[in-house]
Amino acid sequence: MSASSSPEPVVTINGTAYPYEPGDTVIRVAHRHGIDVPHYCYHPSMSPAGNCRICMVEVVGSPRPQIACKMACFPGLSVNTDSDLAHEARADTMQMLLVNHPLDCPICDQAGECHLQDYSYQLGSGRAVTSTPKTKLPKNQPFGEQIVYDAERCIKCTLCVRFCEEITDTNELSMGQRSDHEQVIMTSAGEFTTRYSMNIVDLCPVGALTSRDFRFRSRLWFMDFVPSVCTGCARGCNVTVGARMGKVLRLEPRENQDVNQWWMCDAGRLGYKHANSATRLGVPAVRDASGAWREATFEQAIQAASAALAEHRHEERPGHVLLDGGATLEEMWVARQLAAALGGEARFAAHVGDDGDEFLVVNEKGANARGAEALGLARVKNAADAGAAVLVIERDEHVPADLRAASGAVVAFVTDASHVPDSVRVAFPFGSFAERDGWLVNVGGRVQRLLGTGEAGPSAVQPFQAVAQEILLDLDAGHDVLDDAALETRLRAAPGLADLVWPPASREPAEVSS
Amino acid sequence: MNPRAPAAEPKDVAPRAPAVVPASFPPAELKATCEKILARYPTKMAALLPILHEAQAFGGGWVSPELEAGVAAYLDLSPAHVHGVLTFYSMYNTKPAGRHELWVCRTLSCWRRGAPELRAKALDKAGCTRTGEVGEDGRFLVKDMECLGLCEQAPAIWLDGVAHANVTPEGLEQLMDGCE
Ligand code: SF4
Ligand code: SF4
Ligand code: FES
Ligand code: FES
Repeated sequence: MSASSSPEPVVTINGTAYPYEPGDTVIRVAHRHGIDVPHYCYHPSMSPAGNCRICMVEVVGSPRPQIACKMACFPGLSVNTDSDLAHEARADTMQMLLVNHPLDCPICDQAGECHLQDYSYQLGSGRAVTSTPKTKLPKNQPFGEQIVYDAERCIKCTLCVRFCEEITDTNELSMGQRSDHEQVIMTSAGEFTTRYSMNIVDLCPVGALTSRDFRFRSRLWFMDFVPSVCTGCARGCNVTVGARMGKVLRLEPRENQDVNQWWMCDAGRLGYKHANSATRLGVPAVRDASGAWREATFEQAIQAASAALAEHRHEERPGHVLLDGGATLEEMWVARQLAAALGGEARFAAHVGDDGDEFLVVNEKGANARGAEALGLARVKNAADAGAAVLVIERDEHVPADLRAASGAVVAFVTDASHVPDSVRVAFPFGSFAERDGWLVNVGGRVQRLLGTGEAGPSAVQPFQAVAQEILLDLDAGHDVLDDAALETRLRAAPGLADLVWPPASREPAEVSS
Repeated sequence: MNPRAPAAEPKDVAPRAPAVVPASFPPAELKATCEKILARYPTKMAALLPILHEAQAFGGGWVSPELEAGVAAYLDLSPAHVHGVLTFYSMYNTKPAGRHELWVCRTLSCWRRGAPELRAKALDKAGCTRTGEVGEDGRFLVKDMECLGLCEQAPAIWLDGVAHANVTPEGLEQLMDGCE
């Protein structure tokens, strides 16, 4: 107990002393201080299972290595994560894990983000040490509608089972059989009752659980990934958006302890389909004299829009701008200026569901409804209030067909061409959540960054802020055009917004981790 | 601006087995026994193994999905957990059993002292090609079993809960012939 002389208890890892809190395990302290300890079955949110044995570390003074995920810290404990003994223990563990593993990385969706693959490159010998044939187990087993299980790839870490027991408490999964026939089994009903089931696909350290939606769609190294937030509801779960060649392919949760911990709901994860719609509007379009649509350049369309809006203002029809509740603060800010020039105000509409739960999903589906309210935008709930000159729509459910038709708008910014109502004369493409940058305020008043990727959506879509300010210049020559940085400075200081929880000022995404 | 029809999403969702309706458990004739078992343990979960044995005996040598679900409900356990336990132990059957159950030891001592011949003989007499199956006449379920604790008198078998040691293929044949 030599170390107990220091005021705070410490453990020594690789020769350096680190403080720990009561109940800490070695792996927690190591990870907190950025020391890599390999792990498969350990997850910070769940009870340690200690079954994969890859986290073994050398305990100084002891001939036997120990698993770091279950080893409690005590004063005087000294471990090495990088010594020969630790490496040897890991290499031996890998040998066991690979005895029956198919190593079919070339056709496995996990390849590229699989630690089994990584460590087998690092520690494996490239040659099998056993000559017995590998055990045959079920492949392509459906677990509910969205998940596919491959028992041969499974390393029996039980993370998926523990997720359904400890996190969702729905207990759909268990381990069945034993020894080399051990495999994950599902209740005979074969359906998940939890709406968070797909988190087990992310949890699975190998390619044993794959998402039916994403599997075989793309190799990971061809995709672009950006840290962003889900816009499926006002919770604003932090996500990583993966896209390739104009299509969003995958949403995965990103850790944020204040918002979504490590998780997201299945509906939010799969709620990107509108971004890939076959009827996406990719270029501006203007109605000609006969009422037929013609493709236009942004310059032409801006001119036409300014003319249409000037006429609209002249006729003294409602000059409001009606926004989708998922629009960013920047977009709302500019919309407010545009509306003022048209003699109206910026308003928003957003769907309100009834499926909120105690965990993540909330009834408010407008990802920035809270931001709109903070900016003082009125909420449009029915067609009678929908009158507007300009529409800004990403999701159909926020500004549904009846509101669109009742608006009488002459200019529309739409993600999907099918959302343009008959009254509109100029239509601009509007990026989906995966293509736009900006700030959103979640249901808890936290300002979070929506970040777009150039790999999603039609190319060369100009942001609403830029186009709307061009129109403003045409309508009101005195307008100062602001770029996003200038807009952000204004937003951070704006009444109603200044008191919200903003991340530190920088153009970096909010609170990126893992 | 001519909206194309959206491409249909691929539909390759596999058909799923219908959910089972849990049998009401325990049946009247098991009620007293089950309650006695429950009283022996600190938690309901701890009583799972003996209760499953009762359920298996009641079910005619196997635990049907309905019975399994009934046990899960009785003990407040998830059906998946019960199924996991049921498939972990080879003493439980999840498929209809035969009129007789024959276990052949497959662990080292027996294997070195003639268990493979016993196994072949048993399968042949039962009229099935692999262990874990019931022959066509419904007489025998032959199962591989880990060490039966009779290594010093290997090879060993169990027939309907009775252990037999130092078994020869001829002896086994006689034993099996004695079964209806
Ligand atoms: S399926 Fe994946 S998460 Fe579940 S036990 Fe197997 S390896 Fe672990
Ligand atoms: S809870 Fe809301 S924000 Fe989170 S993943 Fe689901 S829909 Fe998206
Ligand atoms: S991570 Fe420690 S045993 Fe699996
Ligand atoms: S090895 Fe067969 S009884 Fe022990």
